[in-house]
Amino acid sequence: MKNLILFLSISYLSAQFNYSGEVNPYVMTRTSDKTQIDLPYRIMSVNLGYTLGNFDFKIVSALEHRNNPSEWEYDIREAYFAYYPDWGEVKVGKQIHAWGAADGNNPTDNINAYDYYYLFNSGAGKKVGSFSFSAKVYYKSFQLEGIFTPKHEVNRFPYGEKDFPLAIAEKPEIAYPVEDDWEFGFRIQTTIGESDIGLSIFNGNDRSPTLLTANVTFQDNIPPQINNLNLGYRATTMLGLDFVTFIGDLTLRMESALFKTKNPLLKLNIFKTPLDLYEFQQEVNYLQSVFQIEYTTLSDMTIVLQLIGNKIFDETYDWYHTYSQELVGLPTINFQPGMGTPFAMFSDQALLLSSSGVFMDDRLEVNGNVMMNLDEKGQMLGASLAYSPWINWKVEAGVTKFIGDKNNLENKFTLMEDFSNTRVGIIYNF
Amino acid sequence: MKIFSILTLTTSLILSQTGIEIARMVDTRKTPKDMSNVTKMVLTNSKGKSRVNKMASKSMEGNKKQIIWFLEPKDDKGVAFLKIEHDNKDDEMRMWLPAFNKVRRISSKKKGDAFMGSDLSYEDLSNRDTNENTYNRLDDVMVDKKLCYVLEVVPHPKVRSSYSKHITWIDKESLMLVKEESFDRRGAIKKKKEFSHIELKGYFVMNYVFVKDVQKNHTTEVSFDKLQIDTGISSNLFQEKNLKRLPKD
Repeated sequence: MKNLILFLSISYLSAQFNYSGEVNPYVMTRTSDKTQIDLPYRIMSVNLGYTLGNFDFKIVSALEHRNNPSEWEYDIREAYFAYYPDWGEVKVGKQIHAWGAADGNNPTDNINAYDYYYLFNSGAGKKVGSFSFSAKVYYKSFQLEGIFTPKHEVNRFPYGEKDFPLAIAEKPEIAYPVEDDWEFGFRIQTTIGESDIGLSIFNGNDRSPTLLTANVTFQDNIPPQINNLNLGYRATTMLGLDFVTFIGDLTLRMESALFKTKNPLLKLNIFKTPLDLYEFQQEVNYLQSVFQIEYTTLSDMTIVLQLIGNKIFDETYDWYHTYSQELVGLPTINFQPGMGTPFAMFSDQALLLSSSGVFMDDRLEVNGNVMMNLDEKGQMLGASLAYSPWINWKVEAGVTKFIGDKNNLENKFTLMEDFSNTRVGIIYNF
Repeated sequence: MKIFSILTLTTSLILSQTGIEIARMVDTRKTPKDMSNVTKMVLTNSKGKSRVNKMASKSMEGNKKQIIWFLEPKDDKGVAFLKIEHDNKDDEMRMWLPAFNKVRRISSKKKGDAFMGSDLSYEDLSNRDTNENTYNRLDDVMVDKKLCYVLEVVPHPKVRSSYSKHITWIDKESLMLVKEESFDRRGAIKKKKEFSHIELKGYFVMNYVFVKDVQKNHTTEVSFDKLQIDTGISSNLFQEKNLKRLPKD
């Protein structure tokens, strides 16, 4: 008992408790009819940390609120133990990882799933924490990192949200949950001259579902009738390269990821499988790249130009009958990446120009950005101001406008036009 | 008498230091192996409005390796900055951004950028390389009852500097900076700096800096509290992983 009291006393004296967070009530209103956009808003986040010697315990939590109907949800976004020996760091628990050199759009950053409710947020706020074990070794100018995730996490999509234009009407039923949950990632980074270069590999499962089988009726003289589409997740391997260097006053960041994805071989019990089941076997290689140039002006405005590219360069598919393995001529479906930067959902080639600056002794933050779809018509324009009248308090206001193509109603930017919004809120940091 | 005068003049010419010699004396003066402090930075604009930033800092090798954790304002709490100066290549600078869970490499080439919106630039915070500047000695003067060397420091034309020259006053006794005036590339005065120091464990260490940007009529007052020296900081501290961990109060 005495030993326990002594241990607790020493622990208490040598430990440190940290906390920080923000309260951020805000409202988003459609620019078209000034009605409020009815989605959940993350209005508070709290970060707690407990440090004892080389050990840390961290919790990052958030409180979400929806106005109509009034709903509250508390989410532990991260909760992990960390150990920091001389040689590196080891972490176990629910974590949000960040890989890559570019800002905001990172094709190599695939350890965590994305939260599509907060897709337009910056930083870790748009990711979903996943239970993982990670270790990082520092040796001279090298960093070697390994991550193991034993459970497959999927993107959080705004299913059935009538106020989110790209939402799917209802949450689809997943016919084939992932059988091999284990996911691995390795990354090595080194400094060469005045540049940082990183190589990474990640082996896992897609974060969004895709078509794996269909129930199809074939009848003479009429086209085949698809009765049911059955979804699951593709297995994907990513090979990544990221790079940052400095040329004169410019900072160059580059990131590229090659994805090799294919539908998994399903372990179907043929005695329980319906006769009209056809399997879709698809194999796709695609490349996502981000090239970023950054410049800070004499007045401390930072200007960032980003070119985002998504290119499918090798795609094969077959439909075959589950029983007979006979190939049939059914049509393919449009390939949608299940991993990589979520902005690939909007465009295969986009240019993003953003600028930000702080003025009046950090009291006023000004941000502006333009995203131009280089593939077809489509733009996203955004601007925001945050003013701090008192220390730790801010008043924020922003506007986001989507401009699509009136002649193309399937264009993602056209679909998003009604999501053009103004945002007003206050922030209190503690 | 004439012979005595000539001897005195010759001796003083031989024994008096040149500008570069004084700069080297300053560089090689006895300095602590490592240093920790809590830095309070008060920024005051031309209208007299002030804003306070607070940060914890640990450094070694005369600030060649430095790590800074931001504590206030609260929206910056947890942001941290790591600087490692190299002799043969550009310095390494990295920021830990907790909101992004990411360490971000930043440019050390734009040393003219303001540090945290203050009147101190990254160049002001970096050690001045004696090989990259010309040091001209001017007449000694008294400043606050301290006899000072006065140097005109001119960056070499090939060096990327946001200044055309500095006039630096150095206390002869402690070899610490007392004040400095820095001139922009056009030759106009840009900043006036004043420094104070204390004696701690036999070392002279800076405990206060006042900077005025003359062109913007903006000031920054920096005070170093909880100063600790030679506490045995390991060079392993200056690794990215430690950016993520706020130091113990």
